[in-house]
Amino acid sequence: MAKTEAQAKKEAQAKFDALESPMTKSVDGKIMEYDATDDAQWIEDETQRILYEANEKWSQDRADNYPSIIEFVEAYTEKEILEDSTKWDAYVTAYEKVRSDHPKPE
Amino acid sequence: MSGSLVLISSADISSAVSHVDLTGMSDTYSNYIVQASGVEIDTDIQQVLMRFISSGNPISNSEYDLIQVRFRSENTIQTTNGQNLDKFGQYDSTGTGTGEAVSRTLFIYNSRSASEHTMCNYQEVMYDFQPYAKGLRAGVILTETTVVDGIRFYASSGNIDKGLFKIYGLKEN
Repeated sequence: MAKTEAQAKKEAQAKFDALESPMTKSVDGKIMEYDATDDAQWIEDETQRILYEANEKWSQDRADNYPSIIEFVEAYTEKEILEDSTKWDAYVTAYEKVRSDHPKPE
Repeated sequence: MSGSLVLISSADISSAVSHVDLTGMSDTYSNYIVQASGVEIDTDIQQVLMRFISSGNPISNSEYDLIQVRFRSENTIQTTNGQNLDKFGQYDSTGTGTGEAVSRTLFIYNSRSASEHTMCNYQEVMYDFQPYAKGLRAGVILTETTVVDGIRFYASSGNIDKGLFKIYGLKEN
């Protein structure tokens, strides 16, 4: 389900508030506790991550998993020129599976 | 090349931290090499991301332009790019299974010039969360002319809980 920035920020803040112990960082090998600037950056980054997962990740997942352009060209050409739709049918099946596996959020 | 790499800073991470900063880039060297070896995270299916650091703070403006070639053992080679990103290192996610880790080497140029863009090319090998072997060659440019003095590594969610991080200055003569 698609999310607004306000929803994502609220979710990120709740996740931050639920952390049980102060977060730590390594600066040049020294372990330190988070300061206020780190906290604010963490909440902003988590907000953006939630927005990406909810609103944009489906597009990247499809791009990652679609059959290759070479497969498309070969399948289409064999269908149109040789009138053999075997590869085209397989391409369509694979294409539709990617779309159903990674649906666009409503 | 003997003696050309001068260790500036390092971190050997063996318990969870939210991010790892390597700083200390100065005008002594023009170019730097960063190595991150055996980086493991504590939250499944997340990316190991990076930002340059300026005056102790990560540069999180949407000023990173990136192009990369992904070598995917389970799929085709893929070229991807992104503009106006607020971080870099995304696209492939590692996990928490045995052997799932990322190793990355970065070459950073022009970081100390206030009139030129910082440029970086990097390469990595990893086992992702499935786990499939992945490789990457990438280039990134910081499209603002901020003087850079370090780099941050962090997970897209959760912590980094293992890894050896080093930054070297490249002595030119």
